[in-house]
Amino acid sequence: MWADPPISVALVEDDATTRERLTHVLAAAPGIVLVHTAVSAGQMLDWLAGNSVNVLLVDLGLPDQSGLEVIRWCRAHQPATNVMVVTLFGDEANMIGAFEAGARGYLLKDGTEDELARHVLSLHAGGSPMTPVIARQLLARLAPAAQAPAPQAVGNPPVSAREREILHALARGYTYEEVARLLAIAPSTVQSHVKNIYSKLAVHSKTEAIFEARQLGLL
Amino acid sequence: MAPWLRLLLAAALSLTGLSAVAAVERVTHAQAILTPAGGAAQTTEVTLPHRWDQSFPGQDGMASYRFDIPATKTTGPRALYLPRAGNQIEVWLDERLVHHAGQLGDARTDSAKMPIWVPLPEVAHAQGYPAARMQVRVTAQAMRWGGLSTPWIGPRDEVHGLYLEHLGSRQIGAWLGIGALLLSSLMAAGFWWSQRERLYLVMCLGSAAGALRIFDRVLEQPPLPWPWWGAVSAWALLAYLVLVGYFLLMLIDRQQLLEARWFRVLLGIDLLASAAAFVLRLPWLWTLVLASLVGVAAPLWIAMAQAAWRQRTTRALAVFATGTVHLGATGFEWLMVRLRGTDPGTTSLMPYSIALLALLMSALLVRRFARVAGEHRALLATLDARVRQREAELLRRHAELRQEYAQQAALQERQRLMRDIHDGVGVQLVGLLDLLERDALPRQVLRDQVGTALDELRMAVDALQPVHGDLTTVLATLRYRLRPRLEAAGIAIDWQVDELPPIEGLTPTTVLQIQRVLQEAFTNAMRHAQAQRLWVRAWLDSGPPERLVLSVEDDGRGFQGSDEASTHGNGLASMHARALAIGAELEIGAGPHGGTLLRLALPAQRGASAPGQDGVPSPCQP
Repeated sequence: MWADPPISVALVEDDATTRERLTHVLAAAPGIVLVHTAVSAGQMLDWLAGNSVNVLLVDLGLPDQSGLEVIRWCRAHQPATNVMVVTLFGDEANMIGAFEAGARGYLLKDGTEDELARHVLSLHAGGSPMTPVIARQLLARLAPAAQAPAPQAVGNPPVSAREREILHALARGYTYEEVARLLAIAPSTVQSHVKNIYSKLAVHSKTEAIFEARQLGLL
Repeated sequence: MAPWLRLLLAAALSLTGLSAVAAVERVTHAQAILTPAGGAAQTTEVTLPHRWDQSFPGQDGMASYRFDIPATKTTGPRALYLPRAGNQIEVWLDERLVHHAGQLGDARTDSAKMPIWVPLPEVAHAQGYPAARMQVRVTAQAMRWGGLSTPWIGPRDEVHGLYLEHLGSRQIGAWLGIGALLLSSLMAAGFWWSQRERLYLVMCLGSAAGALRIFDRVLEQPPLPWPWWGAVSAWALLAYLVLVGYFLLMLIDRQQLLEARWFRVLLGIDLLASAAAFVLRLPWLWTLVLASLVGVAAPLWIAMAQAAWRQRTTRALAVFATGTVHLGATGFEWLMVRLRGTDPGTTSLMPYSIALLALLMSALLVRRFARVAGEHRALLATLDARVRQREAELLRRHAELRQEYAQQAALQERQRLMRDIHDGVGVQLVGLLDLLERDALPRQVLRDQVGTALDELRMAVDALQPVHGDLTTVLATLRYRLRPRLEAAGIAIDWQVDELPPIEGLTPTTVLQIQRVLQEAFTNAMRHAQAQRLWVRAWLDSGPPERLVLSVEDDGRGFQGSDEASTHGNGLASMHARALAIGAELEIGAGPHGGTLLRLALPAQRGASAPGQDGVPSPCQP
């Protein structure tokens, strides 16, 4: 695996201390190269116009505009980039918003940054973390009441039965490994399912946005 | 057949010369032997109708009337009809008794009450009937309208027609009067019974007296012998006249006229005098009694006229009209019967007066009840409006109370949370400060302290997330938060958590308390018990009572083997206090894997067990 090219990472974070710490952690991690850091959304968008990375780390609370804008731009223009949100204490409402915008993972700024390298590698390898609260909310959103016919927006791919099983187990606090054992599938399969669910959330959000824009006469 | 029609018919028949064929003879003269009690018999020619009381006022006696029936050529059956004869009679035809009513001299019955119908025996003569002599013998009691009216003789069918006609008019008139008066008496009695209003009692008694008086007119066998029955009947008449007058005056609020002392004295005298008149056979006294009432009737009538003029209400006018007819009828009857001596019951205005009275009574009741019903409706409407107003007020007050309560609850919840955060994160940070004061600071201790403070903060934030009563997610989040630390401590978790039903009223404070209790169990396993493995279970215990049970078990040394017993003592006390605060049941003991087993059970139906947290009073039913 050492033969693999290193994973390129860019970071946008306005808090100097956090930025320094993250920079430090990433610099020490093997197989990861931090190619750019920015302190505002504008700076990062400017830089992204001419460059691309494997993993983009975005803080949501940026001074000039929301980190969500960066995520949206990235999904629209560089869909290959895995976007990871760097957030304080996992505020679920914001995180769902971030996933809808196109984020694929998140990192809590809670002293577990040591794990950051592992998270970045995992994300790049196709894994996304999911908290029980997010799993619960996704169940409510994407699979509202299994017995009811899906009243979802046009073009929204509904979650499969397997995906719903996974969400249920995650909401009950089981880890990916435990879910894999429960459902007799590989842990990597659970991860790709989760990633798939996130992308459905994004699609859902996109069609909703188009639908709403049409309603408003913008399109 | 009406009399004028009969006259017309007779005139037409006489013109055609057929009058002899179907003539009804009216006998207007008779040879009479009149024998007053204790006196000598007098033979005299009398004109019919003959009234014993006129010939012998105040005396009993016997009379025998004789008249001849001329021979006729008709051969059909014949009959005799006596409109009025009494008080006891025998009818003889050529020395043969053909009819009797009562026994002569026996005063218990009175044949004069009913018209008398006597079919005459048929005599088989081809030429017709020969001349015959008829004798009607009567015994009369003083003041009982004894005597004989004009007899009718003729073909049976025609005479029968006359008889039925008379019978009908007398009977029907009397029974209609009795019925009307009894009905109004009963109605008035009912209203008096339910409302205790004197007006109705007066009407009830007056009508009853009137009914009794009329009843006497058709009663051939009164319950008392003469003259006692005569006194009763006289009292009935007096009572009827006075009470009806009183009733009419009450309607126009002039009853004081009959409440005056002089009238009471007069009425007392009248009652005594009328009884005396019949018992002592003094007809002039009875006439005098009635005259005194006629005297009273004059001011009564004036009072009614005055009231009608001044009040001009329908009621006053109706009273005036009824009173006029009533007084007029009484006065007319008194004049005709008492002074002029006409047959009673033949020319009477009483039925009209009674009918008007009954009408007045009904109208009065209808109006009264219409008014009462109207008042009730108005009252109901008012009550309804007030109830609605009160209801609205109550609802508004309840809403205010609810709002106030919600604000209070929110405030309390906030204060509790602030205290909890301060007690958790605050205490950890203060401890950290304390540690920093020391010189040789072990890095691991510092790390632990900061880590714990972060856990506290995270839990506080998690507790504030809306969980919609979802205890499963609370539990799962706790694991998610503590996972890196548990992994770092090298502890494996056996996680078996069922999907739990939502708990109503799961407040942030409750969530925080549950988190704290579980965290304490995890921390104990990590730090003190040196456990290798944790078993976490959550399930619904169907009970009863239905409970949500959370259990954490480790394979460590347990509390007993701990070297920090005092710390654990504190921890245990605080866990029990937390469980108590949220109405949960906490058990801590030895588990099957050698370590500690903690079991926390929460009632599945919350709300009742946690007053002051979500027990908002429900709106009271108006």
